[in-house]
Amino acid sequence: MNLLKNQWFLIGAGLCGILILVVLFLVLPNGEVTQPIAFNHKKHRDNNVPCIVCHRFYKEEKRAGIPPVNVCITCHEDVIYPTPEKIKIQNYFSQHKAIPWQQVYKVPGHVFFSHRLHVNRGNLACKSCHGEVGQLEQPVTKQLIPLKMKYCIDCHKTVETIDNPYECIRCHR
Amino acid sequence: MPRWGMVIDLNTCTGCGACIAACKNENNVAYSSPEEAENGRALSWINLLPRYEGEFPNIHIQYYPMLCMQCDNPPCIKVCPVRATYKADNGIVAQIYPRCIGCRYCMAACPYTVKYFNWYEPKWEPEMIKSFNPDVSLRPKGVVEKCTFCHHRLIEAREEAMVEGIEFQEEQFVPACVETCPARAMHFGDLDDPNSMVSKLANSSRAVRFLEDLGTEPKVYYLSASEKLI
Amino acid sequence: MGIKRRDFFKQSALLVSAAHSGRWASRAVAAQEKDIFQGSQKAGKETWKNTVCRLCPGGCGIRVRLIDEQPVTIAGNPISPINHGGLCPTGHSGLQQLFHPDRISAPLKRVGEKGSGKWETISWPEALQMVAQKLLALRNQGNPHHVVFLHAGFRGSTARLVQQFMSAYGSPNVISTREENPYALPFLTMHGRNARPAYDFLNSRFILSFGKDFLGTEGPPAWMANIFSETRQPHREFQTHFVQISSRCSMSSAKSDLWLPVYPGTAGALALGIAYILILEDLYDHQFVENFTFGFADWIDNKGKPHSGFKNLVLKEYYPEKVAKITGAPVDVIIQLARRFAGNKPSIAIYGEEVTNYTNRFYSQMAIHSLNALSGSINMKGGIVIQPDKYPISVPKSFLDSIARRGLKHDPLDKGSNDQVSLVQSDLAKFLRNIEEQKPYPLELAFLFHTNPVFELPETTRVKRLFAHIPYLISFSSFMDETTELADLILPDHTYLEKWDLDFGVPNIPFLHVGLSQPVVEPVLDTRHTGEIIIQLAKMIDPLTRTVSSQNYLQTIRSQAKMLYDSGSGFIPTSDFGQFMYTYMLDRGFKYYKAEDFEQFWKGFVTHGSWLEMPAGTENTRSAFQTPSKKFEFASQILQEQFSKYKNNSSVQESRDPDLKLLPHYEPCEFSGAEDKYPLHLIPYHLVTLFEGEGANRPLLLEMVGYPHLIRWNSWAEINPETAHKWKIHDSDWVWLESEKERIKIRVKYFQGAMPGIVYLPIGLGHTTYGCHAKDRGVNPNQILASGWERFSGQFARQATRVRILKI
Repeated sequence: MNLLKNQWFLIGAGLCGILILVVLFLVLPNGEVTQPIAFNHKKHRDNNVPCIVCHRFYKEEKRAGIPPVNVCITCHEDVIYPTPEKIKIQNYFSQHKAIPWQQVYKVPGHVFFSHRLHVNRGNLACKSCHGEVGQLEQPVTKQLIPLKMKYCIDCHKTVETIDNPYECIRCHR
Repeated sequence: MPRWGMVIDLNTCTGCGACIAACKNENNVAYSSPEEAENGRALSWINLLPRYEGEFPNIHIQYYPMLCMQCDNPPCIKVCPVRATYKADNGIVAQIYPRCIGCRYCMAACPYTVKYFNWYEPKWEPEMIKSFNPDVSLRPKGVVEKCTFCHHRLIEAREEAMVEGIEFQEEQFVPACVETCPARAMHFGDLDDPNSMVSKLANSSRAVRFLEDLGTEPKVYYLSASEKLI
Repeated sequence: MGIKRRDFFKQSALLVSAAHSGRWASRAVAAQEKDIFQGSQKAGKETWKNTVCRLCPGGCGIRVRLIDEQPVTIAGNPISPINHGGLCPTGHSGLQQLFHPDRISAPLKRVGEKGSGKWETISWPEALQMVAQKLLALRNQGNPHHVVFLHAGFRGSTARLVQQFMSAYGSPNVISTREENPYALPFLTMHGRNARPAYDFLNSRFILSFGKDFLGTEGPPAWMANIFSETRQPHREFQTHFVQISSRCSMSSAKSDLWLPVYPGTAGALALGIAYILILEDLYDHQFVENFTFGFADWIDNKGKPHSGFKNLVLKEYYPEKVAKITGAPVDVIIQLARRFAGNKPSIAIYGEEVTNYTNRFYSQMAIHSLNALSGSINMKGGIVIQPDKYPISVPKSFLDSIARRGLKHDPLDKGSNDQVSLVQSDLAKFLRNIEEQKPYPLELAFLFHTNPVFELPETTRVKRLFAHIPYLISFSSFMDETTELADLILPDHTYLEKWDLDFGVPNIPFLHVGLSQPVVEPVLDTRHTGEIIIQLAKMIDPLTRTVSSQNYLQTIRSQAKMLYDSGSGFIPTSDFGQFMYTYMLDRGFKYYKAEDFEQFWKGFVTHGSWLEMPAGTENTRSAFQTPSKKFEFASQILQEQFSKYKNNSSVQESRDPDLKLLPHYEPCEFSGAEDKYPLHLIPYHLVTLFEGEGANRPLLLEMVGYPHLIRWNSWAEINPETAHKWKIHDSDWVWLESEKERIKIRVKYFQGAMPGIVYLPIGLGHTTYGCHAKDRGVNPNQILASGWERFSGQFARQATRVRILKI
């Protein structure tokens, strides 16, 4: 009890707490992830590789799909111009391991979202939700446009859709 | 806009329990432990409510499949402080889990006692998680859940129709319990469509609804069992 | 090289993207795509696969929904002629079986004492080597018949392969631990052949069910529910009346038009009481009785000795007042029932568990079946037909070398004894006694195929001792059940969702049906198809390769499917018309989907999942009896022959009237336990969720097990409140149930549908092992059953035990 009455102790404890919080804030990634490979979207685009080569299903399934190593290795099998990233891919391939891509663009489990509907029916371009991912030279570590409910609603309010944009169970399940 | 409703024929329902099993699998409803079940905290969106009448040997047994009645005038939505439960345009009484604060007012208000509260963190074996239905979200501890008429199937069916560019047909949407019923005792469809099977059955003289005098206007109809032939 | 490849890829990528914007995907691109994009992308891609449910003998067609190759839902297959899209609760639990955490994941070898639960994981080649060595050693010693293959009534391709393998090996012992055909006895004596009945409920107007829980476990559940619902449709031209005679108000009783409770074990007497009225009031079918039956009136045998017939026996003995006293059914109800049975033709009398589980089952079954003869509904529309079993699938005869021939000369271990009249092919009581006494030869190696006798059979302690003493026990089980625990080697089988199989011979259906089981998912664990194991074992044991020649199991299946195709009969249903429609259209010469060649046939078979053939009309087979008189025999000459074999054997020749022994009659059931000491009857019954206890490892089923009483995860004892008051027991009290043998602790549930003086227990719970969910849940009624084995069928009289109840 005596200890608690000591004001210097309380101030010290408070300062320590703040310090810990600051350190945590700096150290912990604020919603960002690290990708296993420094993937360069822009370079692939500039080399005329369309999105569908890697995100194979975005037009025909609900989810677009993240490429497995087999897709990468089709181009990056060569050993003539090795780069560190290429070697990583080749290592994954030779060890029969999946590349541990971190999914960045995802909706929570209680949300229904369909890629093919937005792409085919809504005629949306990728960048309307994903932002200018195609211009990124660094790997995708965070959502360029934060995918929050508000973003969905805002869009659905403006675009003419089938029915009421405020109908919760159109997306909540 | 269709008004979805269900008709259950008590004359052909054999009380086999297939609807219970189909529902639990389809909607990833969590299992209780024996101790939790003992306290009446097991979750099951559809139940067979038994009614035993009379004494041996003149006994009459009837099982009533009890699911959310999807009332047209639902008492549960009036008491929800956060609008987590509300009536959608198509008549389905929706439960939005992320909004739910777990106050359980709606459970108290429901005269059919068909809303269920997640008292515990669901316990899933890691192996069995593989067989989850990805179309339905997993509910966390502390929210109320209930039958949705397998609403996710409607979303899916409509999405499919939209992608294919065809008109959405009523028959494309069938809840899991109706689909599995081996006795074909359950019917589902649009109550407003005068040509649909359900609206014909719901308007027949055998059709009754539970606790109609409360004015809840349930959309689940029961066709009363006919007289015994002998 | 890399650059070249990249250039090429750019082009092909453009092609691919173009292919997906339009719908003109050329084959070349598609083939390339497959190579490039193999590997899993979680895209939420949905596919469906059709297969067959094997969780009960019902054989329902199911379709499995796969998302990204991962099975997520099981639903009924709408084009299956058995379930028409419906599915029972058990069918939904299949994925919990597949992904169960306690599945045996690899071959196991016992290292500790038997039953100590110490196992060592070994590799498949090692395991197979061990089995082959054992089998070779026994064979070289000249004792191939010391090997036994135990199963729980299997059928289809696996059954045929095992039969082939075992006879080529030289063992006659392929034995079922469950009664394969509980309906067989009257067919053996009165029709002269072992047959299964199929009932034409849809065209029948009156169904008199003696204790057959037709909406429960007896009869494929989904099939029966479908038929029942069909009979209740308002648009039908005529009504089908159901009458259920049993002591408990099961769902079948509750859904019937009349439920008539009778005292346990007295159903046979009631049948004879009905026969009395039919004969007395001249309501029976004269045309059938006079033309196609034998022994109705008094008769004279070929030695000139007169015998009394069925008619006089019934008229003398079973007047309604007496029957009413035996059965507890009121006299006027018996009379009414008989008149309605005769007045609403075609009418069927069927029997089930509450008849076959008593010591007097044999004559009761005959008595009930004779009602079918009196109403003339045998082999006709709306009546009882012999289930067709002539499948166009044959297996080549096994090649027998000298060792095999010598081995096969021995009697199988389940063959009825020499000191007892035995009619059935497989006598379970005799089998247990034989392995207990090691006579006529010892049992040295046993295979255990998806059966759990230690749990399922009564006399649990004895059966456990017997199985623990089998020198080498090899189990194919997927789970560590009570019997597998005693095994020396476990070779875990795939679950039904992981394997190829052909399933035919579904009981009680009036048409030929072959279901194709296909793997919907890659094997989850390091398990192996038992069929593959048999084929590999055959390769390791020299002369057996000449019999089992196929490379793998799929090849076996395909060759059998080829036989179906070559036979030219039947068709693959591609859409559901309902049963009426099939017959209607086939009668009018409609041709169904016919494949042009076998590959197309196979493709259709895999896609749609079943093959079907409607038998030709049944009218012309009314006289097809294989008895000595070529007629339906009320007085069974086959039985007479059997009895005369043991003329001088005092244990067979009882004091009973020799004429009576040939005729259907009522003899009181022998209950175990004195009535004053054990005043209550115990009746265990089956649940559609658990069957013999296989369902108890799946939480889905355990949680809903007692839904009629809102009980979950546990057993309960149903008891009439009146009886409970007598013993001062309240609802939900815990009590001891005690038989002569043992006692169990259980919770009481009041039930007005229970007959006073009887306690009802569900079968299937009370496992001591069998995975985390099943272990120590509820009680196993088999533990306390104390009555004996019925002599004609070799099955246990499960419902003939008396108990007393003690409040805790």
